[in-house]
Amino acid sequence: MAVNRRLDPGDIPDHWRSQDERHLPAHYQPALLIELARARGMADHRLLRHTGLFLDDILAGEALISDRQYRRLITNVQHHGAAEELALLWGRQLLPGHYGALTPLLQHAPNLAQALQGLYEHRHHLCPLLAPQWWHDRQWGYLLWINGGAGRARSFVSRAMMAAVYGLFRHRSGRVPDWYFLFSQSHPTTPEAHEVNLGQRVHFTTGVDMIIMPLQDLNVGWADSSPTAFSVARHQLAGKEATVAPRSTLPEALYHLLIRHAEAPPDLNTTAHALAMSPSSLKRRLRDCDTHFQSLHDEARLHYSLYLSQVLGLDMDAIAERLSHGDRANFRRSFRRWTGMTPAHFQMWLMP
Amino acid sequence: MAQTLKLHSLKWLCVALYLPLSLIAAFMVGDPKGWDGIDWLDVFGEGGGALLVLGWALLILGSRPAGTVSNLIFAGLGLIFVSLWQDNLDEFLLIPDVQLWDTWLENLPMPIGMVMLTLGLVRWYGEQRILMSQLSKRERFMREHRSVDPVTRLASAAYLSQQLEIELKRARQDCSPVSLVMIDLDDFDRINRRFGFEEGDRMLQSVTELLLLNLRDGDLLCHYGGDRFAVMLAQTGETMAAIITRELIAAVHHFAYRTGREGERISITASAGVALALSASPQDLMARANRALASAKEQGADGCESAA
Repeated sequence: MAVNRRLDPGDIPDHWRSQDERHLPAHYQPALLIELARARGMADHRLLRHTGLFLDDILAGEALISDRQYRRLITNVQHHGAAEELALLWGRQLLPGHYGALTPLLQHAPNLAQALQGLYEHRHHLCPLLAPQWWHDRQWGYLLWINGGAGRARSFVSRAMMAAVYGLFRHRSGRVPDWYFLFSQSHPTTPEAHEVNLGQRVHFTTGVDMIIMPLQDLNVGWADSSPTAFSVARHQLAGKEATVAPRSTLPEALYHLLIRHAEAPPDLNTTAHALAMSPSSLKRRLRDCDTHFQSLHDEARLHYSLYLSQVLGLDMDAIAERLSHGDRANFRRSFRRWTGMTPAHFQMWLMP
Repeated sequence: MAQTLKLHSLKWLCVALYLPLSLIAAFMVGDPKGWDGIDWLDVFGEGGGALLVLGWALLILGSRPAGTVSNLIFAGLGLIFVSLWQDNLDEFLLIPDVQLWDTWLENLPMPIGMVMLTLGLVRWYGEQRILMSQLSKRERFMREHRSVDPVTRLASAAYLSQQLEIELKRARQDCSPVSLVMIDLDDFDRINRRFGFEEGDRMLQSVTELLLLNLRDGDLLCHYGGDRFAVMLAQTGETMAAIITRELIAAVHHFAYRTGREGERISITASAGVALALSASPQDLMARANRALASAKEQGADGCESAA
């Protein structure tokens, strides 16, 4: 299907965060999750199994944990009988949280757009496994979550992160937002918990993890935010950033490469070659992040097709032209594989 | 279970002592039959039965506090076990008939044990009825332990949906209305943010008890999800439902909740939405009550709203 175009050397990521790099302070989100799971009766040995973490280290506030440990902690919590509700509850408390200089950045952001900008810039600390990305048209903002190595923890993390943004908005604006939530995962066992925590418009098995919100919610000013505190936090963080620049994970870096070339995506061999590694070692490294090349490839192309239809307002023929060289049937088939429905259905059911 | 079993440690000690003693006594007076003389089907039947009875005792005592009922049931099962066990020993050893104690131990404990077990079960039944009447506002006529919320110990939305189905069917026959109330704590996030999850859960438990106290017999309180409760009011019309809802909201408003650690007073308010149905599906009724709740929230905290 894809004609492999040569990749521009400037596009190719040359460094990424290893799965074992200890970069996330354990007393940030992990500690909050541990507190919640313990309050809900989860035994410590089950909670911390194979994470290599000790409660005392976390409480001392000095331990740093790796993506692999964080993901393992979350998959442990997923074994809890009420994991869906825990994810939502944890998420509602995640932002602005208690994360050193990151918290005033979110707490004093003048509006949601600025808060999301902060979330994006500091995603390696605020949401290391799932990266945010957003577009808008004239009426709506689209906040998408892309794989940063969440793997099996994705359903938990995507619930939590969407609840986090919702919770932050409610907390800062004092208003109950009326947003659309699209989840890639299948139908939950407790739809009611989602309704209580996210509102009435929650959809599942949609192929994407996305929030759709009215544009004005992104830009409406939040009361009681201090421009001084916001700007101080930004400067502090910028200073810190200059000394240690945290890097994207390999899945996130690859996603960006693939979406930039969505109209003629490189295949596994070309990508591996460009990254100066063998295809099998690329596969192994992606497996290490609990994902695989095809799933990143599909995610990038689906997101690109949604960008074309929602933001650029292209019709089906034009999108098929760009993504499948005019083969409409082929595009429809692919779209069905990604989302379980035809582009027209998707548009009708899920888009506001 | 281990915790509950500790309450009955003396009883288990009796069983543990009886087993070796009976073996020693049998070996002292009896002669081994040899492998050829053993009827393995009998061994399987009697010995297996004895072990099963022991298993029952373990399950029942593991799930019960100490008390007369537990003692009676244990004594009954223990005596039945003695009978079966003694019977089983005969399969391995030839015990002469002059040893009357063996015959007695084989035959006498069984009927006595049966009587004691029966007495225990009758008293258990009485006890269970008292418990059921206490639980009636939480579970009505059906028990499904899987759908109980671990925090509030209330039944879940799935259970509510089943019960609404039953109640709506009856409502259509009798032409009596059913009302559904959704109650949501205002700004519950703030509690979790300020005091932590443990305090939030503790508050939900307290509010659960408070709401239960303010309901009539026959009403059903469920945990809908998060900090939202659902109350099914069977055979209740619009006016009565509105009165009860206002009372529930007032009860929450006047509730002097104090935090577990510092005893700090936190004022809480709740909002509610009411929907009434003569004929509708449970999903439709719940959706209408939720919409009414959303519009009550929009009007401001601490109020209630009825669905159109």
